[in-house]
Amino acid sequence: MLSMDTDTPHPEENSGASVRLDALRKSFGFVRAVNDVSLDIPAGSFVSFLGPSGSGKTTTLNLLAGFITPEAGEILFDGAPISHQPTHKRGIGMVFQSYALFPHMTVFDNVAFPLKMRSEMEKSQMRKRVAETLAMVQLAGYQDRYPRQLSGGQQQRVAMARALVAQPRLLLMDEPLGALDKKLRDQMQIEIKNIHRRVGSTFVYVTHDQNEALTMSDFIVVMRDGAIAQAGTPQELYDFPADEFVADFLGGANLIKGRIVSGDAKRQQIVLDDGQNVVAPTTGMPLQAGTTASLFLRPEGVSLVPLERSKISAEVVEIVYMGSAFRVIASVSQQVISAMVSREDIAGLQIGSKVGFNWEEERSRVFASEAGAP
Amino acid sequence: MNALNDNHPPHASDKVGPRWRIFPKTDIKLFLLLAPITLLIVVFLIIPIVIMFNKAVSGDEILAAYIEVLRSPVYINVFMTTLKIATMTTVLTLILGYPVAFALRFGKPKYRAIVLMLIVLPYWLDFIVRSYSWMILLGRRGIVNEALLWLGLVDRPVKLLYSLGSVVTGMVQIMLPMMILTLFAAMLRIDAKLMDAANIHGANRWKSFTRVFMPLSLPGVYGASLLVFVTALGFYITPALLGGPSETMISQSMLLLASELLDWKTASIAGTLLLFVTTILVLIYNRLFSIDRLWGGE
Repeated sequence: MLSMDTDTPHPEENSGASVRLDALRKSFGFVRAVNDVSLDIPAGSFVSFLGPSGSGKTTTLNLLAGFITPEAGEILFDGAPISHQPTHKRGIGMVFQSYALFPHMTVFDNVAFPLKMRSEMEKSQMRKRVAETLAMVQLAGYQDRYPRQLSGGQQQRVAMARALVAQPRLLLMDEPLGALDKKLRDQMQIEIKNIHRRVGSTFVYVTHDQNEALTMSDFIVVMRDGAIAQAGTPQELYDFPADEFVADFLGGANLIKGRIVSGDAKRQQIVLDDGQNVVAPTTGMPLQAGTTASLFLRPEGVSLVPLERSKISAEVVEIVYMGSAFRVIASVSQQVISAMVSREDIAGLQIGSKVGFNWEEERSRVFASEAGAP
Repeated sequence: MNALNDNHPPHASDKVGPRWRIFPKTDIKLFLLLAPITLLIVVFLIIPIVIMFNKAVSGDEILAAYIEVLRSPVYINVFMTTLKIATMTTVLTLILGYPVAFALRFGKPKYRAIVLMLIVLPYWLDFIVRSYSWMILLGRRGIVNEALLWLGLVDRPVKLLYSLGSVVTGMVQIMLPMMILTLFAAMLRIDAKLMDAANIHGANRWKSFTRVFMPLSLPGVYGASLLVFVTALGFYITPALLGGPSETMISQSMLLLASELLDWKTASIAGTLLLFVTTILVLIYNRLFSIDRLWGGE
């Protein structure tokens, strides 16, 4: 059982809770918002739920919070089922998208709220704890302000402080940076990561921003249509996505359509519409010959080479300066392939010229094409 | 109803006042749209009030007339009765209305429409009809008395009508929709996420309500109460039909003075004093909470 009565004066004793979702299900009307989701979240880890709107990530968060109850399945904190425990007894902290700060309370009262509700803490100790927590989010000295007197970024920090002050073993964050401008968002990402390391709680973070998920998470759970599309470390998901959807959702991906020619357990061959042949490693079951499939390549894994050493050739359509690199966009088989290359690589390159593309075969994948997918 | 509860239309129209000075072309349309209602208010509200006010501040020995009114136990009594009835009406509509508004705020949307409909329904019945209905219900041989007799709770019919109770009952029924709808509008502006935030940070439902929702609903409570109170001050028909002599309210005295005793001056003085009290209350509220917020402004 999650014992959150937080009188523990030693922050180091506060370790994160492990969370297990076991065949969790929740419907709204006829829509299965969360459909048989099972997942193990290791204690103290930073897990992001990533997905488009309607993918079930927010519903999963609300199930964890207890704002809604699952119609099937169970949620376990440290092995103990909690899905029938009321929200206020779960001992969770949460940062809301809109911050949901209490407008009639000062910053101090907002941050002290969980302590007042959850513990019999003495006034002096409470003041000390609030001050420490505000210092952690770099808002020392703002205690007597009201939320409306603060900027969006400062309100966000107050929301963080309120969620963290009772040293919850699980912290939920629902797109907490969505309302901030990009520069502040980048800064907060690093700060949140830093805070996670310091407090040691388990963080569950919901976002539709793949960059945010990649930057901060120990694990990413990509959701789609109420189910988990893929779960793993950021690197696993980025380098080896399980399907077209994950590949496309996490960062830029080349997905070039073709047909499977042949394949075995190790490699399979795909032919593009213009007749060019490519070989890629088989992951899982080999696809049947004749299946429509997509060749997956990350743009930064693709390099420009002379035509005779290339895996495929394509016609340059556009060269885009990206600051740190150049993006070469080319047309192959009436589709687009893009590569991130350096300044030296594009020397002499002209729009309309034929170039060769090469990549490490091990980093390419072949996915069964989905109806309606790009 | 009566002139006094129409205090806000002129209040609303003076918002466009400063624009007239600038008079950009686009505002001509706005001006034309506002013209009919402005004309109506000026002719039938502002001018009569000015006339009344004029009567109440001019003429010989006007100060003596005020002193006479303020020293006369009759008028003081009527004033106190009016304040008492308006206060009781306000408190009771608040007690009855707050839970309904709260239920509307957090109820399922499909029930919300039905309940709102039921709340507004009595508006389709005329004031007088509703007051007469209470006479039928509360009369000596009315339904309530018959029921009490049949149940054996009383030996003989109780005097329910022509009492403070019947006047307040009638007025509460009339004012309740205004209280509920104003509270509901104010409550809609409280973010439901705040309750979730309180809840997840350790507050049970009751504490979420007392620590977060209730304090945030207070400006709405004060505003709705003010509206009901100010409206109740000017009630005429309900106390006339459902009340006895000791429930005489100020509007009744004014009518008596003006139409039967033809003492226009004293009637005007009474009206001016009532207007004065009302204006002070509205100004205090506006000072504390800004009255625009009741209607959705910031």
